[in-house]
Amino acid sequence: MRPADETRQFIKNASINSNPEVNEAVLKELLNEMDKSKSMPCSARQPNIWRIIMKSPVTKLAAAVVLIVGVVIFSLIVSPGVTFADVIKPLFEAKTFAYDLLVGGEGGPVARDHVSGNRIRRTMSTGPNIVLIIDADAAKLLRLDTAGKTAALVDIAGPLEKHARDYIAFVRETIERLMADPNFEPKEQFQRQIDGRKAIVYSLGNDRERITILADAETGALVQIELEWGREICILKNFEFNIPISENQISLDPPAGYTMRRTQMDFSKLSEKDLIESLRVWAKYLRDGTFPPQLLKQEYIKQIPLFRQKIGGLSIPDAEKEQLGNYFIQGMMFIQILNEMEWHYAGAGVKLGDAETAIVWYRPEGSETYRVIYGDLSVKDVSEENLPK
Amino acid sequence: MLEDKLLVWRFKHGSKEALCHIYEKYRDDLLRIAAGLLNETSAAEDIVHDVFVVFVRSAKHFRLTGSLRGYLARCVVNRARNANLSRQRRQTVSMNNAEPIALDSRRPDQWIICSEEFSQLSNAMAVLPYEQREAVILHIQGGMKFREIAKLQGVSDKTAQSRFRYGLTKLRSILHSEVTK
Repeated sequence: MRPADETRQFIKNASINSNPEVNEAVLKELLNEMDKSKSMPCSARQPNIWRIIMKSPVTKLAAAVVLIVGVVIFSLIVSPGVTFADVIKPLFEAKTFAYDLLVGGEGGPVARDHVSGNRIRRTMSTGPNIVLIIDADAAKLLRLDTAGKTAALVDIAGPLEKHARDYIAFVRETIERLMADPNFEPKEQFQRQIDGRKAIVYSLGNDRERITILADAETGALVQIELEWGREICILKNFEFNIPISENQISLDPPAGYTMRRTQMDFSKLSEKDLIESLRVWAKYLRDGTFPPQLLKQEYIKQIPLFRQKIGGLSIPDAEKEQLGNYFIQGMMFIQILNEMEWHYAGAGVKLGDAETAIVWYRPEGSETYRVIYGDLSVKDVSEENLPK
Repeated sequence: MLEDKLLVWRFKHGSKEALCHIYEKYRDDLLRIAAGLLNETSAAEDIVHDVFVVFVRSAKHFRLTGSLRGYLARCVVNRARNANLSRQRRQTVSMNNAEPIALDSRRPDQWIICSEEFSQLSNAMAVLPYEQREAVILHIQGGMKFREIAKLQGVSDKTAQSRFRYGLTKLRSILHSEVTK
């Protein structure tokens, strides 16, 4: 008797093939049906046209000619028109991709991401010797300093910020969410000149979250994606799809010869204190005792080289330098939380220590009053009518 | 899964290329399931043809909640059941007790071209009670989980598993006896 596995295998292997001529005939009928369905309500069931066509040897030959012509016409119809679906296709189908990430829009710091599965290899213009390898699922980050040959494996506690995980995944998720709406009908909205070429523009989303997708008006190739959420903006451009990315490039094991240490970043308990301490770092170490002109994540990122230079030059223990670094990064992350609320920044030029001037105020979810942070970094609960004008 | 969602979305928005892709991707699987369930190629071909035509006609209102493969396979299964029932009504001898029907010889307009193994399997399948046949075909060839088969058959997971197990045992015995003849 055949063992059960053998029977299963036999069933699995028992194959059929389909007749290519009939395949084409049925496909052609389906494509015709599709054309008809666009212009007509559901029609009554029709006989199997393919079977009628394929019955006679004469009509079979004629059908073959029609099919060949049909295929040619079909490819002419589908290739020249740029549709939204064509534009976003590589975003969904590519296995690997690379893109430039401009935090804060044009003129902001530039990162180059190489993405394969849940791993991202990120290099940044603000740290030419630094390579970050992020495992979004395992919440781990390997930081390589290629000049100093040091590596730090960071366990990230708390959820990785959604936009920071993988920007393409975020774009996909958003498009998928929009696609779930049966009335979703993205249309070319206007045209724009970008880098010397004409691009068609699709703008999706709402006031809180918006994705603008630009594609080459002639080829449909993806040119740029702009992401806006709250006051943040970033741009993805210079896309490459299905590029070779080796295991080594995205490995969490440092290359040979690197000195390794392990550390932790805890984003699970971000609090107002992180923002306050990051504001202190801004005023005390990065500026002339005043707070920054704007409180935006991209402003934090822009200052990373200056931060490294200023804090690195301080005569304080390394642990304290690391603590200042943590405050700075966690303060930046807290802005993401602020973006979910009603908040305002008025600290431009205000001196650290000014107890009279409010620099930040925000209303926590469900709260009647606002939290107001003053120039001396004290905090008070204030009712709406008593907020600074 | 994600690729299918995108394909369906593009198809709903009039992409002929997406329809071609869906058709190429699932055509042979559906033909195999239909032929396995019905043991009659022309009926199986008609069913798969009809499933695709209805799919195209319903593009505007179609909403994919699970997998596209699962959805199309369910459409084939439902139509195969109807075909089987009407055939039972037409025939005085029920399909379950019928003599194995050989897969019809090659017609000029034949869509499905069976391998020798498939013909052998199909004849053996014809002897199984329809529910068992369905469980075996859907699990092994359709890649469906027992939970999905149970839902489709309106029985418990355990019953679906039992139907599969009995069906497989019977098949093993039939195929073995053919080998030892």
